[in-house]
Amino acid sequence: MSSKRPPVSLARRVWPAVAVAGASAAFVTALDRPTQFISDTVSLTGSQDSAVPATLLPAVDPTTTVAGQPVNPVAVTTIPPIPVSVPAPKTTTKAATTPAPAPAAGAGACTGQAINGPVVQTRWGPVQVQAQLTAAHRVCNVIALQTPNSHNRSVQINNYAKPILHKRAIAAGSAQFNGVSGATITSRGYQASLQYVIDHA
Amino acid sequence: MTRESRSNRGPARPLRRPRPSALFGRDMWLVMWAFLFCVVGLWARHGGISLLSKGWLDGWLSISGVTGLLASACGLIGIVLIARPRTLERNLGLDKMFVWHRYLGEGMAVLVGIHIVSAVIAGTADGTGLWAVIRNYTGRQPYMAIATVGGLLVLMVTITSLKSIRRQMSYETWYFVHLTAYAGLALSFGHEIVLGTDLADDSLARWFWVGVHVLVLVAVLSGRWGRLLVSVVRPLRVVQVQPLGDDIGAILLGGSAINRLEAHGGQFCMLRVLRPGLWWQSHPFSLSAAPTTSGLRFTIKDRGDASSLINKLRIGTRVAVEGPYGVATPEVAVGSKVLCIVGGVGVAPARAMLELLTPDQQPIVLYRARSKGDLVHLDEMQDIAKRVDGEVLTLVGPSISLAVKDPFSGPSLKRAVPDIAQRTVFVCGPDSLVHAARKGLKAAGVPSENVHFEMVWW
Repeated sequence: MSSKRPPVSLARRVWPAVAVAGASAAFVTALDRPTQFISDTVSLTGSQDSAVPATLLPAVDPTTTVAGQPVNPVAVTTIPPIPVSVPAPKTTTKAATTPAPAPAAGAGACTGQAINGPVVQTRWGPVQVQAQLTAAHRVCNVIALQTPNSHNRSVQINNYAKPILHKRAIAAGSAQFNGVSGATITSRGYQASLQYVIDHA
Repeated sequence: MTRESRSNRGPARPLRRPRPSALFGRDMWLVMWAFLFCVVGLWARHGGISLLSKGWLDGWLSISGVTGLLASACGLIGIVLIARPRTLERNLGLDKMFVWHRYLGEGMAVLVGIHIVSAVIAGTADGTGLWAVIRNYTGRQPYMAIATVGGLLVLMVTITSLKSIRRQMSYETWYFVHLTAYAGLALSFGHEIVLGTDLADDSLARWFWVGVHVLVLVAVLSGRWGRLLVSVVRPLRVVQVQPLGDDIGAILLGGSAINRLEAHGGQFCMLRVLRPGLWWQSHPFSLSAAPTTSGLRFTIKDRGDASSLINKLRIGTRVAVEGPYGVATPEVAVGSKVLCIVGGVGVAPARAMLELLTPDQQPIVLYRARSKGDLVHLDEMQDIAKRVDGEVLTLVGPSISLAVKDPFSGPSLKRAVPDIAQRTVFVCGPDSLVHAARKGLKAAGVPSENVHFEMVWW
């Protein structure tokens, strides 16, 4: 029973755990490449100061408006189309399968006026978008004018979600697209505000 | 034969008894259910239930949210159990805490699995390719790379804890891998707070969640690592080594630090010999005599690991003592007759307890051993038994040679101890003996709340 075994060393017992921990650290370094927050670079209006009255300001329901908050109607007639590097192969196939009339030359160009959507009150704060439609009534450009920002976390989440919502809205050409996981509430408000623009343009 | 130091001075006084737990069993269940209720409530508060029926994306996201929260909750409760806060331990007993720790760990592994799968399904709901979703979830979204690695650690800990794999690893190898579960939980925290729908946008929920994590951290730091530190800083010393047979011996640990301990017969301690080559492993051993200021006696059988060295320690060697743990003490048998069923070195707690019983408890010890040489402390026990109006019955030899075919069946037990149904029973020994005895006791009509046993897992 009491045979002479050499005592086991700590090194022999601990190396699997150390290997696991090391592999974990390596994995983190290899995997961690979060998407750059590009929301700041996405902007519809290069000239905020040109306070031209909006051609269409939706008759905003009082319940959906922030009381006392001045909604800055930024509607600009001369908007340079924003350079968005969206058109992935998938986007084009999606656009092609939509039942909307095939955009004729000119009809697909993003030359419509930028229209402000209503301020939609969500559980975490107001959401408002500004959108541009093509002649064929498809969304060709959209930005979020405001998203919930009363918490730092909301800002962080929305900074992450905004570019994705932007891409999805343009890919769908409408307000019928899936929200961003983790930012479901903002996504809903975003879609509601955008839908209003489409309905009333 | 017996080696002894001369540091014992003054008459030996019994050590203080462990204070009773401030909690009742019911309180703990209440706290646990309240916590789980809050966690599920968090999810329901943000519309989790109604989202289930709101289409593919929202439904799967909602499932992912609630399973993620519950997995974390299981992990946190499991960590609290393993940190063995005194109050909990005094109430539940360490062995039951370990069993619950295991159940919670299994539950957590399943929940993490559902969490990940449902999140991936939700991610692909808008037509995003599977590969792109996986890439999003493993690094493109903030805090997801570390969460992925946290998930992998949980997977690793789960795999190494599967019984078939666990059996092939030494205890320490498994233990060190298991420690990475702490890292797994810590790494997952970021994505819960930043991306978790139920936590990200709700400051109340976030404070609740952060607060719970801080409490658990405090429990681990003070309960586990703090007490480990104290045990190392204020160790006991070997004052006596007494060989009892070929591969079995008793050591007595004493010293001034003993006054910080509260102990009772029937409890066990985790011993960590502070000597090169042994300091990094700790092993559980039962007290084999009533604990007094002159020392704690442990009876140790050579199991082929560090225990083979413990019986050869030099007088004066420092030994860090954690515990004592265990709730199978004479406290649970007050005013009741007592029966101890012990096998081999499992005699230790019965020997310690016997000393603390009173004549009206008329203790009977059924002592099973493979050979006469394995019958340790028999003379001591017979002396004490005379004093407390008890008796020690031995059963020696390989099972095959015994006259009675199944000594722990209900009828056999009843024949040996006619009033068995009125007794409080303590069982200690190898797993096979514990299982056989529990089955037999049930058949003999002993209510299960009167049967106390400690499992030895190592």
